[in-house]
Amino acid sequence: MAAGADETASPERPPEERYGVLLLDRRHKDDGRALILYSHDEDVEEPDESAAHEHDADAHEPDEHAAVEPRDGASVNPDKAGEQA
Amino acid sequence: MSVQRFNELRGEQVVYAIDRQDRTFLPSAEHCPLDPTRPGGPQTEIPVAAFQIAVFDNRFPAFEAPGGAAEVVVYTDEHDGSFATLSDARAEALMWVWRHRYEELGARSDVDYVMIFENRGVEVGVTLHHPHGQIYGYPFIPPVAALELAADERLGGCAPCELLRRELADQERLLFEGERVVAYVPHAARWAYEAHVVMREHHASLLDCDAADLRELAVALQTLVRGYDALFERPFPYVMVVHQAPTVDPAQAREHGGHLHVEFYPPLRTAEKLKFLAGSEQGAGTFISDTLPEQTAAALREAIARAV
Repeated sequence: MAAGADETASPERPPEERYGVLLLDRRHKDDGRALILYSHDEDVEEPDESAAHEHDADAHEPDEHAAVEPRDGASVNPDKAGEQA
Repeated sequence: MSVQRFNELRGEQVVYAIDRQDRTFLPSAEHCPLDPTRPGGPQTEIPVAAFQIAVFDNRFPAFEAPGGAAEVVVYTDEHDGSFATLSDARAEALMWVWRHRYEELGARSDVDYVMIFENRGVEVGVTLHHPHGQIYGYPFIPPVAALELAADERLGGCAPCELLRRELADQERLLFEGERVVAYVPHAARWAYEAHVVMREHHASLLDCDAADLRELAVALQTLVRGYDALFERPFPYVMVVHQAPTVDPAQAREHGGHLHVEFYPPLRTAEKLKFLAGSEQGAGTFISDTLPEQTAAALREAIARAV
């Protein structure tokens, strides 16, 4: 959870996702198309180099609405950034 | 749903996305589908009253799952402006968004190549003026990416690394140098004011970039586009494309080649004259330019200095 996030948030609210300096809010439009709202959380310290390659497990859970599965063995994709860090 | 046909004479795929024929075309500002949905206002593509950066599946996709992806990236909820006018923090955040989309789309089994791009200006076919870009997830490696991989083989290593080395040695076409990013008009530019913004280090993709890399990349891109706007003192049309490693097998991205860089293809050759792709360019595949890259690089350097 990002610094400053409300830990008393409603349990119905999906877990907050972090990606680098971003906070993600995943939604779906009425017609089913995916929508992601990104915000630059200025209250969160900028990640250092290692943090840039950190992968929040929440951020890599396959979208339950996604029509395409991640590649075998690719997960979305801890190995990719890990090997390139 | 789009369909592909293989053009045997050209050795390339052609995509038929006939639903795009009816896509929204230059709506008035009051009916911009990329504005936020304001209380009492029309429903737009983004059903919130305010946002920073939004990404959504294109309503008129050239590719869609399970045969690729087409996304729209909206840079701001403000209708007026451009990539050049974004705040430093927003431009930097956009680099992170690009990184995130490359990672997620590249991990999909139906996406072999992720192309992040922006078309700016009606001269290059823009249909919506709100500051935005797009992302295509191709279910194959498209010809330009394949040519870059072939260049790696021809040069016996990473082609962008070698070309950057040559430009740094030559100096004549450099636009600016940063600690991590270099911009230049390439030795064999096809467009008068073509420019490449290249990472000094061999980064296959945005996933190789740390926070400082992304920050400097954002600064470099904005420096260039602000220089473009200063060049003829008018909004400067361009196509901006982020070139990265194919994602055929994300775990082996490095082995597939690719060197993160951003290419700009501006159609203007003077303040008011466009370069058209005509007989030689279309029929023979050979660009004929009215300017030398050394001349246009000098003009761009001056424009960038004026814009700072």
